[in-house]
Amino acid sequence: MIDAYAYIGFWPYWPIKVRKTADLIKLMDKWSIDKAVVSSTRSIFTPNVEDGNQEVYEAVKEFPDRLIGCAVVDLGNEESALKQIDRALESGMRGIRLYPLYHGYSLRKVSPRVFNKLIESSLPVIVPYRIIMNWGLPRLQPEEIEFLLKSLSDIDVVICAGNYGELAPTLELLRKNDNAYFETSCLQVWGGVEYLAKTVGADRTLLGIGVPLQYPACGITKVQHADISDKERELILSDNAKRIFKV
Amino acid sequence: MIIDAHAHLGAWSKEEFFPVATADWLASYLDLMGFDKLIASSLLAIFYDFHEGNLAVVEATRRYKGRILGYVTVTTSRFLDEAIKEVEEMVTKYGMVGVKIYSTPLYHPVPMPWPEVYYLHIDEPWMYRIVEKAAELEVPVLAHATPEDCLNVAKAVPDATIIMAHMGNTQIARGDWNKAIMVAESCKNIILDTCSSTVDMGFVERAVERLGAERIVFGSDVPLFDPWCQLEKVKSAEIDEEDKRLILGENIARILRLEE
Repeated sequence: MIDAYAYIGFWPYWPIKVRKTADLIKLMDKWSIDKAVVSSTRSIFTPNVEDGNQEVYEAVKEFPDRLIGCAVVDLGNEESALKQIDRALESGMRGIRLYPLYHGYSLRKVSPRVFNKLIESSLPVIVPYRIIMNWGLPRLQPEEIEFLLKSLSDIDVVICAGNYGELAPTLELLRKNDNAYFETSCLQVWGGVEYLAKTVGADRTLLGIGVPLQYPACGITKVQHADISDKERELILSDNAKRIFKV
Repeated sequence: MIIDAHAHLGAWSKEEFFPVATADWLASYLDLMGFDKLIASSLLAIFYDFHEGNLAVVEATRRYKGRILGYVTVTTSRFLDEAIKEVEEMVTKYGMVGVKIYSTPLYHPVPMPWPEVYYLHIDEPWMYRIVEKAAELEVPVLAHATPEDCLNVAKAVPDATIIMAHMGNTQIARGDWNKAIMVAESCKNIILDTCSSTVDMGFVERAVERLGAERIVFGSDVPLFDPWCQLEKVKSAEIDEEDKRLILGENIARILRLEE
C-alpha cells in the first residue's frame, strides 16, 4: 500500500503527535502502509522551499525503502524555479509538488520556460487543491489546475486533496486529459472511490491518506470497502503509484 | 450499540454521485454498517418546506420504528410562532426526538462557494425561542453552526442541550474543531458531533482529553459522506474502548433517554 499524498515536517496550526520521520515510519508500520510519497510542510510555510526539500532528501536517505521524495517547487519566479527543478533532479526526487496559493502566484502566469523544464524533467507533477481536508485552509480553483494540465500534457499530473465540491470539475479534467490522476485523501463522498473507478477508471485513481496529518484508517477504509474488483483495488492502493513514481 | 446521531432523509444535490436517502435506503444503510439506530432530519425541511419534510421523516420513523428516529427541522426563526408550533407538535404528537437547525452565520471571513442567505441563523432572539421550546420539551438541538454561534445560544438557553454538528468542521465554521473544543469546555450544555469531511488526525483524542468522551457523539451525515470513513475516526482513535462505546452510541442514547 502506498500513500500517494503524505508529509514530513512540523504542522503549524495545531499540535500533532507524529513530528519526526522515524515516528511517521512507525505510524506507517501500524497501518501497513509500505511507502509514502512525501514533501515537507516547511516548503509550504517558509520562504525558501529548498530548506524543506533538503529535509525530504535526508528523510529519503534515511528510509529509502519507505519514503518517495517529492520536491516542492515555487514556480512563481522563473530563474529560481528552473534551479529548483534542477536540484530536484540532482537529488533524486520522484515528483514535483506545487502550492501556488502559499507561494503567491497563479499557475496561469507561470513562464513557458518553466513548464518546458518540467516536461523535460519527466517528473510527475502533484497539485493539491488544499493541504488537507480542513475547511479553514485555502483551496486552489479547478481553473488553475485546468491550465496546468494544458501546459503539461506530456507528463503525469496527480490532482490531490479534492472533496465533493471538486469532484465534478476534476472528473471533467480527467476526461479531457489522459495524463491526469485523482488522489483520494480528501474525498469523503459516499461511494466516491467506486464512482471514480466507474467513471474515469481505477487506473486513474490513487490512494492518498495524508499521513501524518489525517487519520490513516479513514483514508484506507474507503478503498477497502469500495465495491470494486480486486484488480481495481490493487491499482488504486499501489500499482498506479508504483507506475507514476517509478517505484 | 452504534447509533448514528446525524443522518438525513432526502437528496443533497443534483450531482449523480450523491445517493438519494429514502427511508428504505436508510434502513439498508443501517444493515450494511451493522448500526442499531439513526436519527435523521429531512433535507427538504432544511432547505425548503419544513412541514412537508418533517412529515416525510415521521413516515420514515413509523415505517422503521425504533431504528429510524427523527429530528424536527425549521428553516428559520422568521416563521416564529408557526416554527415553535411545528417543533412542539412534531415532538409531542409525532415522536420526534430532537430539533435540527441548519444555520448560516452572519459573517464569513472568506467568500463562500454559494450565494449567502442569512435567514437561517441560529444566534438570534427569535431562534432562542425555538431553542427554549426544545429545552422545555427536553429534546436536544443539533446545530449546524459555528462554535461562536453555538456558544451564544447555549449561554442564552442554558437548559438546552446543543449538539454542535460537525464539531466546527464545516466551511462556515472554517473547520475549526479546536475552537469547538474550547467553546464546549466553557459551556457544559454543548455536545460535539464527529461527522464531517475533516479527518485531522488526533481531533477525537483531543476532544476526549479536554471534554471527556461523555460530551461527544458519533454521526455520519449520510447520504453525503462515506460512513466507513466517519466510523473509523472514532474506531481508530487512540482512546479507551469504553470511550468509544460512549461516543458511538451510549451518549446519544442517554441524551435521548432511549433506555427509558
